[in-house]
Amino acid sequence: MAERIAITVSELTDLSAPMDPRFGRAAGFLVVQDGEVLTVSKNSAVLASHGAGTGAASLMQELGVGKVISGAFGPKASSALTEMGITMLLAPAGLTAAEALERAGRGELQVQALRVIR
Amino acid sequence: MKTLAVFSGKGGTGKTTLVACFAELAGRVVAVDCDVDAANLRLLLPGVDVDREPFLSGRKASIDQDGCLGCGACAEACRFDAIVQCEGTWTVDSMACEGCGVCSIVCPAPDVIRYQDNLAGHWMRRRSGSILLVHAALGVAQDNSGKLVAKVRQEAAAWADHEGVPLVLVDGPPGIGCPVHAAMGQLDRMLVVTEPTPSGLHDLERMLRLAQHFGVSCCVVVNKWDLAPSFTRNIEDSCRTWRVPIAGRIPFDPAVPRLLAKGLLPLQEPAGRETSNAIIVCWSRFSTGPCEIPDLPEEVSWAGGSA
Amino acid sequence: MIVSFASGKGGTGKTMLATNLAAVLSARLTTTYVDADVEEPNGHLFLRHDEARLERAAVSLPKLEGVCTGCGACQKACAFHAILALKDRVMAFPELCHSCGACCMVCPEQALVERPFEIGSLVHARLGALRLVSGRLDVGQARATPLVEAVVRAGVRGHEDEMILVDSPPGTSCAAMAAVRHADLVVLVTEPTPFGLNDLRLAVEMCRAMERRIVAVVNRADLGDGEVLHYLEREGIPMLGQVPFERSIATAYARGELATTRSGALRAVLDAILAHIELVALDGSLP
Repeated sequence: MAERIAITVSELTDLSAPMDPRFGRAAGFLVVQDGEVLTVSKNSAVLASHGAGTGAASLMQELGVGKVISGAFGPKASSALTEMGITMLLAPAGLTAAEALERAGRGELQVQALRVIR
Repeated sequence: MKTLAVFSGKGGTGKTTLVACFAELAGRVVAVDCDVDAANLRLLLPGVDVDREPFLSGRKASIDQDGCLGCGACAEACRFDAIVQCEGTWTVDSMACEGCGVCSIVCPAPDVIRYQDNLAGHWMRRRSGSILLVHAALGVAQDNSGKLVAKVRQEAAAWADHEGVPLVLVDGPPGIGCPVHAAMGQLDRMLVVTEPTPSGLHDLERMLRLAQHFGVSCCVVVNKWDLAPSFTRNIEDSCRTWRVPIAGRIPFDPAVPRLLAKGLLPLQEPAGRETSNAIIVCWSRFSTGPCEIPDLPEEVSWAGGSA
Repeated sequence: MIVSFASGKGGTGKTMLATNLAAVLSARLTTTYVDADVEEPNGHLFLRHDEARLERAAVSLPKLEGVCTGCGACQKACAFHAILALKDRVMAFPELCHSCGACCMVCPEQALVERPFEIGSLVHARLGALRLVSGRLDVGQARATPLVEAVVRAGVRGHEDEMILVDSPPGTSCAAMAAVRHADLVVLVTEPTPFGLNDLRLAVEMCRAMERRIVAVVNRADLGDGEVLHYLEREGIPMLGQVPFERSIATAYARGELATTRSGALRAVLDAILAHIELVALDGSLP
């Protein structure tokens, strides 16, 4: 089964949506498999009182995601996603979800190999 | 005025006892205890503190309950989990609060979140015979950022200047972090005290790398050397690799802890002759003998660097 | 269950006890040894594992990724003097930065973004059944506390129902506190000297400030006086045992070996700690 990839978006529409540079406080996620959008999820973790990072990471696990593309991952998200074995890819600012996905496919996005602790 | 410092990286190598002995041998000196987290030098340099000053560092947030809207935006934004809800009211956990100010940035109500100066500890001056001592105590749960270390260093230098004392002797803190960086600034030379164990070697090499980084001239002394003579040779080989001179070897002497408990220094009986002589030789070599900036090329692997 | 070994004073034998206990315990229970003394991690010298997985650790540091107008709002907002506003750019000081995010929040141009700045490594390894997690601060890096917190989190996460032994850094300030904060039991290792007693008092103060359960072990017990024992008794802190200075322990230590097979006294103290751990596990209300 092909891998599912999540992309943080600031508009809950489709692959033409602009990326949300944040992960924990992203407006929502597009989950893509084989280039097709499986789900468009609102980020429920935004309601969390202490650091939305872990909540958002749990959401990734629930959605069965293997890779996440975002602008930056904070310490709680970073730690949780690492434990879950979900790969974090970093996209530069200003891309649409489609552009980010394309770059990821070509291996052009940097993998977050660091554990961000603060 | 010269500033000499003694470090060890690892705790328990006998550094503070040596510093007290050196101060005694030097006669006219301002000693400064930079281990503000667990300051012990004053236990060997008895006297009365002639000054005790508060040390303010940083601030802590507090929430004015009258004006608080209860929105919880502060708790959400706080990265240190320092704002908690207790029976419906939002309060600041001052142990966790780092005084960063983010809570007041996000607070929608004006003037509800306020900050108070944080009393982080105290610093003291003492006369112990002809030896002048500057020491400090950091409060519980305080951030040991090196600020208090920098303060006692500054006060020691000022006092030495004022009294016309030609030497400042620094008792360095353990580790390699902020407090050590603050204690390592503006030094003429430093001594690293180690012991013949794998941890002793590991921590010695991390100190030498740090000294190399800061460009400070060093020499090394192996304390309790006869507990493991072959390991002592390993340490001395390592010093040669780093191009750092050896200031001596001090034997293990079970009489020393008992002496210290009585408030005596191992420069006299019942400490062994060998012990006191070794300390005297070490002081002589450290204060006037050769010292070099550690010089190990970046590529060479070393005990303290491998995972 | 989390058991932290702390001492206030360095060099009292925390690592010696913690590593030996880890070896003994892992024969019976799923155990993790966490080396949280990130400035001088020595656990690996006694628990000699083969391969280790290294993970680089980073803290967030503000980086200019937009247009800077030199307004200085970031500098004004920073409580730690960690960011300096120049005419058209900024200078961030990693040794001062607390990664709080204030500067990024106040920048009117939204030009500051937090990017990872490497400060050290997390090491994950195994030695037989024993799981090992340790942290190592890069030489030259200033702030240990974030890495101590991260190591403890990495050691505990996902293994909360197992035995976790945390080897703390010396001292009683925030780095040591980070290693003791969530402990179910703190074992204070001390020595019967004026230094040992002085720092034991500070360590007890620290543990009490965090409401941790405390027990004590006296190491090199024959080299000193009885003040420490009197203090522990007065304070009502259970003293689980004394380990005399034994050359066999020192020699084993110098050879990087575990001393449990060589010292009856050490073995007795470890058994006493194990018995206390069992009591704590059974009865959470024990003092």
